[in-house]
Amino acid sequence: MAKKNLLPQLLEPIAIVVLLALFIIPTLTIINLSPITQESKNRDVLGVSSDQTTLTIDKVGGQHNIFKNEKLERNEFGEYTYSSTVTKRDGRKVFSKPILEVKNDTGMKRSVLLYGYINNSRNTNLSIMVGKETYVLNDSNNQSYTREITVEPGEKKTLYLEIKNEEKVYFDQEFVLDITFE
Amino acid sequence: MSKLLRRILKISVAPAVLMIAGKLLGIIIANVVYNLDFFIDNQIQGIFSIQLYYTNPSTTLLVNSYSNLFLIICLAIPTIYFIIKTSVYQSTLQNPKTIVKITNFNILKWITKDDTSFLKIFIWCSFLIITCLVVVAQTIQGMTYQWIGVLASVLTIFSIWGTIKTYESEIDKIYPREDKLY
Repeated sequence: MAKKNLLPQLLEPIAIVVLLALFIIPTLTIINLSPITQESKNRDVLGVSSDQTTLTIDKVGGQHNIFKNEKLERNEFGEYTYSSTVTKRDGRKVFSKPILEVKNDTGMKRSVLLYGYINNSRNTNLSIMVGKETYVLNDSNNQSYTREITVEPGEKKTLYLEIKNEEKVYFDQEFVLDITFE
Repeated sequence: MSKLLRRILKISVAPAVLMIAGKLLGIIIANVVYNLDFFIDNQIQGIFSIQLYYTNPSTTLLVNSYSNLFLIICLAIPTIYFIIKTSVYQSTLQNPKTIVKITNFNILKWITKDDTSFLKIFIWCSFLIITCLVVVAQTIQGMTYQWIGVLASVLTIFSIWGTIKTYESEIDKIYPREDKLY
């Protein structure tokens, strides 16, 4: 008796499954490839989170007559320090410069704490301007303040440093701004 | 394995691959054009293990919308091409004026090359309909721009109409209508 070739009959159900897969797999893939919105986890090896803030802080830079040697440094705890040299200047004049850009790439509202000081700060008014808001860091009575700036998700804020002295300053001063996150 | 099944499998590979590639390319193009930062997360729950995400809802909407638009364009162009080609070919069989017109346009060789079958149109239309339905569903969920959802709906209707028309002309070949005999 001649043997009947069963292979084509066996292949047929497999072919039907393959055909179904050809329709189902791309459909599931395009659904899966559709992006979603969620907060960035920014995890390192073993799921340990080393950066909890994920707020981006960038130096604006550029040239200015009064503000020189701008530096922005980040320490091991993820906190930033901005420093610059404020050169000799006239009294009763306001000098301003955009110094930092704060961007919130997280999905949550975040706060930035600012604490600024300057050496030989007698009668120096220091403040940070964000849009129309003014945050006084150091007033004419030499009183320093810690200020809090809130940044909404996806928002980018430019921080302007403003400095004013009642009398003429004949020497260079070092300004330092400590930036921490809440 | 039957000849029909083999042909269906052969034809289905191209739109299935194009479906995945179209979505992936759409995402890549949107990210490159708008210079976006994307994140990939591993999901333990659900069907899919890998999830693409953005931290900003408007960015997610933009990327998903444009990748969906690119995807439906990728599938619609060949489908419309096949439908038009078959329609023109069928028209040449019934109307001598069409033959004159296509001879004037010098596309007689292109039209007479009958490599577009009902099966091909049916499969391409099926993939286009599935894709458009996914896009419409995502539009209802607010994951895609409304105008892209409307475009997908129009394409779905067009695909169904194109398939029916091709089916009718194929039936006419087997059972010619009395008024079309001469």
